[in-house]
Amino acid sequence: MDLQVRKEQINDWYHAYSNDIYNYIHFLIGDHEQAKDILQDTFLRAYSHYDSFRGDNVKGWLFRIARNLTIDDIRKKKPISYFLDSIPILKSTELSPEKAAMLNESEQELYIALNKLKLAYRDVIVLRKIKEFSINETATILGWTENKVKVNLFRGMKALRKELEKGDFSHETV
Amino acid sequence: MRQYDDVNQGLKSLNQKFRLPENEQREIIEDINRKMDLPMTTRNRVQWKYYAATAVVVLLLVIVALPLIFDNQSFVGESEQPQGSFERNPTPPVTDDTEEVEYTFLIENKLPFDIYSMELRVYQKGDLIASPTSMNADGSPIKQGDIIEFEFLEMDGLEAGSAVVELFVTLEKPSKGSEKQFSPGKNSIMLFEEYKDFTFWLIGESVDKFYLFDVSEADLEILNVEQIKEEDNEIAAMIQERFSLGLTKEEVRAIIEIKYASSLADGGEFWRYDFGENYASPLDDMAGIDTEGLKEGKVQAQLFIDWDDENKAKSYSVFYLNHSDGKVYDYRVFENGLEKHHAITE
Repeated sequence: MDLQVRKEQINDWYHAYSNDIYNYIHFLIGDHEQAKDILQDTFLRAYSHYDSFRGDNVKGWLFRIARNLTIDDIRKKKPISYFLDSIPILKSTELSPEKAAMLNESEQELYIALNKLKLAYRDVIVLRKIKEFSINETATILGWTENKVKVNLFRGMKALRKELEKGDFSHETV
Repeated sequence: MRQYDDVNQGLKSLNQKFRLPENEQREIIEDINRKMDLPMTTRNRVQWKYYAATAVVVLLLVIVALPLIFDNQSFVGESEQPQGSFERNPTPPVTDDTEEVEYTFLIENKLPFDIYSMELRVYQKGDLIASPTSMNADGSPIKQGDIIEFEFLEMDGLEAGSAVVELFVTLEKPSKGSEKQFSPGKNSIMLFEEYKDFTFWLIGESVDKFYLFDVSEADLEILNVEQIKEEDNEIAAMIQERFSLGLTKEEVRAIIEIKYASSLADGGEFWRYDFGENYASPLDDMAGIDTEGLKEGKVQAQLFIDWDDENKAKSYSVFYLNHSDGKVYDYRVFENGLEKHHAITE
């Protein structure tokens, strides 16, 4: 394919999906600057691997690239955390002032609870419940079976509700 | 259900919270375009940080694992089971982290009462392969919504192929050898090489009438029913809110004050309500769902109720047009109390 056409295609995809993909990466690593870098790498990777794109679900393909790059990044920067499958985005239950300003009280609680979950749960919840991908699309992005998506979503939502309940408990007892 | 809905809504609302500022979005695409114009090169830099960290992890593991290995060796023999207590591998030992978990069974208590313990018997080719028992370590009850996990290791001997699972529950801590167990009966399942996780729901009303429902292959989204919103369809929302199994005909008439059609089929009686002004179903079949009529808005909802011998609602379903997305949905409650909710049209 003509490189100019390919470039235009990347630009179109960027305008259509960059915010969604940035949002997803941000949920996985919680860092604005890192998320921006990975977002840029995602589209460069899509450009250089354009020929390997098969099928019609470009959004799912881009998300898969973004996820792989994010996991690579985590693995390089926090190998021990990755090994233990626990990458706490938040060092405490406090949000940065910028994030706190963006979210209302219940969203803050949800965000904190979500970020206490292990990566596999957070990943599947973000894709299914926040980005609203279908089970099939989520399975493709994660490279999992559909059943694994269902089971992890089920366990993840359970764990999320438990975290939220813990939050309630601490409010009541403090 | 409301709480479940709140969490889902909350997650949806987080979707667009972290947006990339427009100026930064523009800068990134400019960068991308500049880099796309450069000749493609491959970088093959050695990630020394990664290798150093991996070496540290390995070293730490060796330091942690060595004392444990020597510790276990000194206790060989003390952990042996008493002879003759069980015939065949009745309870898996505490999970050994070094051995891969072969199959996982998750059982969620969705019963409206607490359970003390669960015993899961797994049979293959007629033989009892394993029968682990699980309860909360502190003896606290397994409450509604709690999930109990049974993990089977390779050594437990489960193989791909057909299997039968039989669950037994106790409601109270046994006292002096008396242990009253209740079972919902046996379930046949297939163990696959590829799919090793099974999810079951324990549903029903009482220990006399409860079920172990296999949701492993079902779509949990369909079964994890959320609250129907009034703006989506007022009638369906009302039915979900006010209907329950066991309602009498008089109670149903009191809730819905319009005419219904009644029919006898397969030896049982069922009613159909059509919610639409001057609407008459074009279908000959009393049990037919007028999907086109629903989609075109000629009828807002169609409710079907099955009655049991005592004239109580045995199961019911409502087909309705969702005004928000224009799709026709099916919300139903089965005889065993299970709810299901999904779109039936595009």
